[in-house]
Amino acid sequence: MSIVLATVSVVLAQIGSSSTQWPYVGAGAGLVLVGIALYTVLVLRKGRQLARQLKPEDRRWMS
Amino acid sequence: MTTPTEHRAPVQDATAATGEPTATSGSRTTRVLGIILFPVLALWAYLAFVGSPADVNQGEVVRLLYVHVPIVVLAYTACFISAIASGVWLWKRTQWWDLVAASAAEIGTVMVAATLVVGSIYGRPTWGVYWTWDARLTSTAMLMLLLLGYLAVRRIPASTEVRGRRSAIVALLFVPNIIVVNQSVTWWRSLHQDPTLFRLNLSPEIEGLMFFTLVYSFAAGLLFFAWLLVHRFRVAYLQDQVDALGLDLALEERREEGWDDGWTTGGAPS
Amino acid sequence: MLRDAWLMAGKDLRLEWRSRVAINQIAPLALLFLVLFAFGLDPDRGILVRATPGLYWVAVLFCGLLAIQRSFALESADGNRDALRMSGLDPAGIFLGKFAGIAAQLLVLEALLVAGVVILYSARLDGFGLLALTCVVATFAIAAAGTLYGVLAAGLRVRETLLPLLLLPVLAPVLLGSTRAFEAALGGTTTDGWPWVGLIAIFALVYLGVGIAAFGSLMEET
Repeated sequence: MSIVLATVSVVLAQIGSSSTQWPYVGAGAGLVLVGIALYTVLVLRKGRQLARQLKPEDRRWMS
Repeated sequence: MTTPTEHRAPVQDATAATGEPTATSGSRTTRVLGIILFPVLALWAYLAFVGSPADVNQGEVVRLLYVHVPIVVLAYTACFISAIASGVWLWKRTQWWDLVAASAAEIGTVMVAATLVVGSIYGRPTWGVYWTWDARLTSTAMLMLLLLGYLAVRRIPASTEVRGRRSAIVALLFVPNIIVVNQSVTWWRSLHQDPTLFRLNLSPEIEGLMFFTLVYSFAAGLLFFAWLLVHRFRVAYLQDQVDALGLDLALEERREEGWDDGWTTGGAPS
Repeated sequence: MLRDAWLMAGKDLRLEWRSRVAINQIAPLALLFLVLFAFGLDPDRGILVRATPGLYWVAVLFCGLLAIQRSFALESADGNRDALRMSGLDPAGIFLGKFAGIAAQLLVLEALLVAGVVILYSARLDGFGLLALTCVVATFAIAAAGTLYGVLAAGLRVRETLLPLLLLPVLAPVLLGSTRAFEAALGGTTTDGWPWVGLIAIFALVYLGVGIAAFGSLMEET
């Protein structure tokens, strides 16, 4: 977690001193899209992990 | 121990193409949705970062608009869904509504956090600061804290009924909070620009390909949100199942103990 | 309902009077906040005077938190909650009674803080009517929201940290409104302050309504 925060602050510091605009776009879009992708992966992995703990007939959900 | 199938509509199996239940939260529906998402999101990325033109005033940075605004919409949608589902849960008390509320709230938290991050980075080149205490940013930060409070309530060690009731009351407050956030730019003089799309007369001030890209970003974002919500809901349901299983196992173990220490009356082999 | 509220408030206030926790501990803490702010901010009086409304209301919020937590800690001892549930008192009345008890304590605290602010920060008391009304309305809002969230967090081991986490973001609009109203009152431009009082009043009414409606079902667990 601290590594993530350190990276983020380094990135922000870099783009803060940049004169062109693409670093902002890159950092903004990149950070957030990567973050959301990470969350998605976590959700899917949790689903797998939980489903494995249940017998097949219990692996259902309401439709 | 009642199983959900006893008082609910027909239940859908998780089947892979081969027809066997898979150990994931996926299903045919989400697989189809997921496959559709790939080209949809690819087109979004192209339009946002390559295809659409740079702005006259903001330059390339305007492309962050196509990230920031859809994420805000997703955040609001998630919070509204959570609030409405909580309201309906208080009325109908079925597990489905409770889990929808919780899943939507968690996704909403991620989206609000993302909003704050993109908005902050967007703010640096356009306003000169990463953060300021204007009305909209402050009320968005408040929404974030409210959501964190909701997630904290969901984690309390209590029965699903107690947990559901308490978190539902917190969730009902999302709605007035979002309204305050959205309207805050008009109620108080603010650094943030006026709401572009959601003013009631709906006359957009950006045009052409930029406008199309923005609207398309909403559509792509909502599709992604729907897919993610379905998965998150299923994970929540599976979690409840596993917890119930854990309870059953603990009860079984307890009963076994009763036989071994000779304290049971009548019939136990000594 | 009102009779039950009166009973409840009377019990809480009588308990408070006999133990004098609010007077002996919370009130000095409130004054301590004022002194600490004076230490922390530039001794140059200019900043303190400008920041007075904000500092005042932050102090009120924190002391309010203490009062609310104490009010619910009273109920967690010796199976009081079960006794309360079985006593046949109207839940809405219990809510209003707790609300009234907390509000009364807060009002006393605020009177003390106003005196403290006048003395320590040399605040001028123009616009006293606006000041007083803001205090009353904001107190109702804090007490109503606090009672509602107090019962939500009640009975949990994490209650001490959960309550502030839930309550403070929710009360941020009240903080905003009362600070602006105070600024208007202390700065002489009282006409600017009345709309804020209206906002806080709506807030207070909403929470009173939700509290009266929901308290019964929230009490029925644990």
